[in-house]
Amino acid sequence: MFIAILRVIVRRLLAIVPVFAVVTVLVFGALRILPVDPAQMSLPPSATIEQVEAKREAMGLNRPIWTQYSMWAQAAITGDLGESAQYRTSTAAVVLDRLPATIELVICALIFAVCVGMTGGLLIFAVRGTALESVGLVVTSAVMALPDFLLALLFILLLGVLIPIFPVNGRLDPGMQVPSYTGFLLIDAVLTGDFRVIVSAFEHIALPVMALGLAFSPTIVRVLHASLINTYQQSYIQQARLRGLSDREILFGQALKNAIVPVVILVGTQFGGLFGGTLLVEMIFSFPGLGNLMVKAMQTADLSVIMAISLIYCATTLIFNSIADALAYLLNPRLRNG
Amino acid sequence: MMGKMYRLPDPGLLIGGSVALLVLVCGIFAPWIAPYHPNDQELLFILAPPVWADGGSMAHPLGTDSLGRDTLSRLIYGARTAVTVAAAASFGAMLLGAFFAHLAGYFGGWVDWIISRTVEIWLSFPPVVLSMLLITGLGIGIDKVILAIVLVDWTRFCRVLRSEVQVARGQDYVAFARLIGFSHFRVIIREIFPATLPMLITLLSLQMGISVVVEAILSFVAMGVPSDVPAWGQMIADARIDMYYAPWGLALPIFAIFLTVLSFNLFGDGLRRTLDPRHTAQRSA
Amino acid sequence: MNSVDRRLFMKLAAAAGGTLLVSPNFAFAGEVDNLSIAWTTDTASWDPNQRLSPDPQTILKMVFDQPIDMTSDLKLTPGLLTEWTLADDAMSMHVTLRDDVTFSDGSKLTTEDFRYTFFERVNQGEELDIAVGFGTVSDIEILSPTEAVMQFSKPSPIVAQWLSFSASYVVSKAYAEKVGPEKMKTSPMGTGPYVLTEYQRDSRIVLTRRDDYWGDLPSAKQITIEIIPDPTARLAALESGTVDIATELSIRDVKRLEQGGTLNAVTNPIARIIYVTIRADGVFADRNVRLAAHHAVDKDLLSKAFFGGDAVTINQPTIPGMPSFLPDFHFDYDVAKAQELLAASGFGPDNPVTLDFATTNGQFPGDYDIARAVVTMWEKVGIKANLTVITESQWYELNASGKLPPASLFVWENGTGDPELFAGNMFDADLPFATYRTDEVTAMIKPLLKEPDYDTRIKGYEEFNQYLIEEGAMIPLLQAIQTIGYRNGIEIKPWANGLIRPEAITIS
Repeated sequence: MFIAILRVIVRRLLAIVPVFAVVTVLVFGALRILPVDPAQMSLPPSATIEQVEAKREAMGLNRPIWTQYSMWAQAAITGDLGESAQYRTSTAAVVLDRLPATIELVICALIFAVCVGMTGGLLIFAVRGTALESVGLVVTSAVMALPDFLLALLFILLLGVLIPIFPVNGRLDPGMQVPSYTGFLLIDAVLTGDFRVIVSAFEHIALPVMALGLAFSPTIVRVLHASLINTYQQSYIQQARLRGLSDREILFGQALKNAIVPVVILVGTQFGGLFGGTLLVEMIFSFPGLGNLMVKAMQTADLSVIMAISLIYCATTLIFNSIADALAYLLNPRLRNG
Repeated sequence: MMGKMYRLPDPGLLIGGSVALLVLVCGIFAPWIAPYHPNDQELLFILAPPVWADGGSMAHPLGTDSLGRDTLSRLIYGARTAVTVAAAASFGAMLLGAFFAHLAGYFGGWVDWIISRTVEIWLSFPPVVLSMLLITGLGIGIDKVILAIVLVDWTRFCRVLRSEVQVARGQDYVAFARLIGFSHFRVIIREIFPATLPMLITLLSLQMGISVVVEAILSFVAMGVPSDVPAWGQMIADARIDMYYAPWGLALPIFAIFLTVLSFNLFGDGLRRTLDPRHTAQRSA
Repeated sequence: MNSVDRRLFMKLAAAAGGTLLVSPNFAFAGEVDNLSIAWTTDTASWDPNQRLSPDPQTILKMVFDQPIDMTSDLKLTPGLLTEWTLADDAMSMHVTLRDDVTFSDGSKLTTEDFRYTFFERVNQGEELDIAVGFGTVSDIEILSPTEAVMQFSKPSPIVAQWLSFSASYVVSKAYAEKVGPEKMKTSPMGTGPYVLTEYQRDSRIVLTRRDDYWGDLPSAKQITIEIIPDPTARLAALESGTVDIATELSIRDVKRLEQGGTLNAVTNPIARIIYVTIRADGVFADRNVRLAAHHAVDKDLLSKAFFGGDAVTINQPTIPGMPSFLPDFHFDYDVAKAQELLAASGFGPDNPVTLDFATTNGQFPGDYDIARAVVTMWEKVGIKANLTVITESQWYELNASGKLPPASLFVWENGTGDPELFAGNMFDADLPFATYRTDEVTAMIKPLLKEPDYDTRIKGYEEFNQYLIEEGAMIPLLQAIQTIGYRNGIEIKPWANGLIRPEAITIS
């Protein structure tokens, strides 16, 4: 059984390799069309025209674009993603430095979104048929009209400025130090065992997580709600009711197990969107992750960094899509047998 | 106008529609409604508070921004930008998406394969990232923003409509139309397109909300409209620096975007409930 | 019970006395264990010769030393060099190095290191901004471990100013050759008063004082620099007491701090000017249009609106108090005059002259607001400017490829105060900063760059500055101000080059 599941997932993941290859070609091509000169960018402003020309030659910018691409691809496979023009150091190092922060943010946001979304969906379902259900759905619609970047600003305004509960910037209070064991700040903070540091780390990530997570949750509410309504029309629920099981037992014992499938799939397919949402949220909270780096790279036309981060975004989206796909296949008996 | 054809107008349709209409009216008649020109600066009167706060005055009911420009007028003119972008971009995305959806769904085979793979590659970019990348290449401007949204969001239409087309393609009347020798073009336009229309209209309304948000995001990161065009996202970006000093400058444009997007969403949901026979059937079951 | 208590007391007293003996500075007034500074940007690179940009200099100067130092009002004063004598023809300079300076790895500073920094490194083809100032060094002849002669390929009258300017820090030859250029960017090793002990990119820098530093020891044993790009967050960090000093606060917040009384703030006019660059071609080929664009700008209003009136308005490419500044020279804000000039060229409010105007957004405080205010001021006289936002690096690239818009809002930093680094470099067609390129300007500037006699040179620049403004070659707007907020119990002496100097911070 386990082998079979693994095989399904591996097959889906292999299927995205050609798609990803096309994506790299597209991004590479698009960035080369941009009206910036990577050679000029990576030299000091005092560089003479000859120096720029020499640099162009050294970077292979005078060769045809497909040669440039194959040069890039060969280097990329060995982990060399070029040199960042703004930091004048290895792109891979700069990007990897920031990656854990974004992963932490996106995972916390996902957990938050699932908790809020599931609770919301169950609550609205519990009051189905009453006026409260409509109220719940209207609230859901309202939250849906607040995309992550507006929520981020709203939280800053409400919880950072008007009632200053949470810090609105960075990851730790200034003056605090956390030795890097894992690279993941929250884990490292817990490992220090210093209560003040742990609280500070969680306080700092609270608003970004809430903004990103809350923006994602109404979709979960809606899908879970609809899916529960659907499930309750199935005959086995009716039978369970006839056997005298309580509402609670039916919901948590039987219905939820099946109703959750679309939610799992939704999370998988929408994960890419959530990951992309970190871009603005990180920028607004000066959260030192990939998104912030990306915005900075776009402003300074740091091509190799833009390229690397775009590819990370795309790869993540593709991987989670195909995992969702595989899960849908595995969880849904009709699809599997048919 | 749509609601009258059906039995009972959906409340979402009604409320969403009227607010959306209000925003639209603000946008169209901005020069007549707005008390000031949106770019008029009063440099000696910057960051004035709104009328209900201490020191506020009726001269600037919603206060002024960091360049002494009237916030109310900028909100009204911002509606114009938002509505223009929302309408044009959504319509463009719909046309492009629907075109490919009909091709893929109707012809199937390798046409479908190519279009579906293209959509798949497109969708591997998070939309925000893709639109910002496009703007980096295209440059800024209302037309560029519209183009970027069209290029990003056509896949939304394409993916959903493709399966609608496939369903319609399987219907008997379509097979019949082919049998009696109608051309592909005629079959698509006369038989298939009407069947996907309800879904198309619903998606269009939801896309309007999305376009408003994307325009705001791009303007917010200074990758949207030029600086002399008032836009809500730009107002947010300007007000952020002074948010401790003048929080209303930040709150008002956020509220404007929220209200507009909410109205388009309610309208879209209402349309879906009203127009989609399957959905109605499901609800009554 | 009693006796135990007394014994404990004796022990504690002994321990305290012992501490005092071990560390004589303990608990002395004027010393502090840690000083936190909220700063705007990271250094980007720890190679001190790599970047001329002003922001990292404060941090680099804590780890490295400069050959020549500057007083707070930008007069040259001995640093690592005790003496420097420029030859009359400005083709060579004799320098004497201190003999008591060691790097933080214990090795001694010699003229080998001096030669390596200002000659060998520049010629090795490493990508160093220091080449801008020292590209003309043809050799550095070593006379002894403390004496050397710099030779130049062409007259270099302001090499001493360059030795006190951004990026001019002496690095260790042995260390640089051992670790290679890549490691130089991440692991700094200098002669300065502090060593880098902890570094988290874009977040925190911890510097620990070297007690074997050759100069006066600064009062802070440790300096923690918190990188906080957002001005409101820097303010929050200062107000909550997590940092002792915060720089570049918004002018409105500074006013509030000054009134509040619990925190202090200074506004420090620095050797940095905000101006509008002009190109000599295109719409600005017409002198009337250039001058109209200048007459149309109400600089006092800009200062009032965006700097609370604290920023000094300027009418020439230098700042008050610096050599070549003309105290009696004026250029009026005069809308009627601007309209008249435009009318003479056939333009007016109904028939405006159209041009592109580039600005940065967030590069320095108020840039975008100033640019938009200027656009409106121009509009009133009949100049229609389309504003585009670019970054600083794009500015250089556009200018290098000749695509820079006719006008752009720019900031010019000159930590030396010398006119060569103002008008000289701004208009030298051989440098990437020049936007207004004409034969006449080149003819005026070239002799000045080579002029060895100080007084003749300054006189020349006075004439040149006046010429530039009368021709409309640039639109100077304001002298930039630096804002520093700090907690009670600290005094800071601001430096006119915008640096925060540890030795200028006193603890009371």
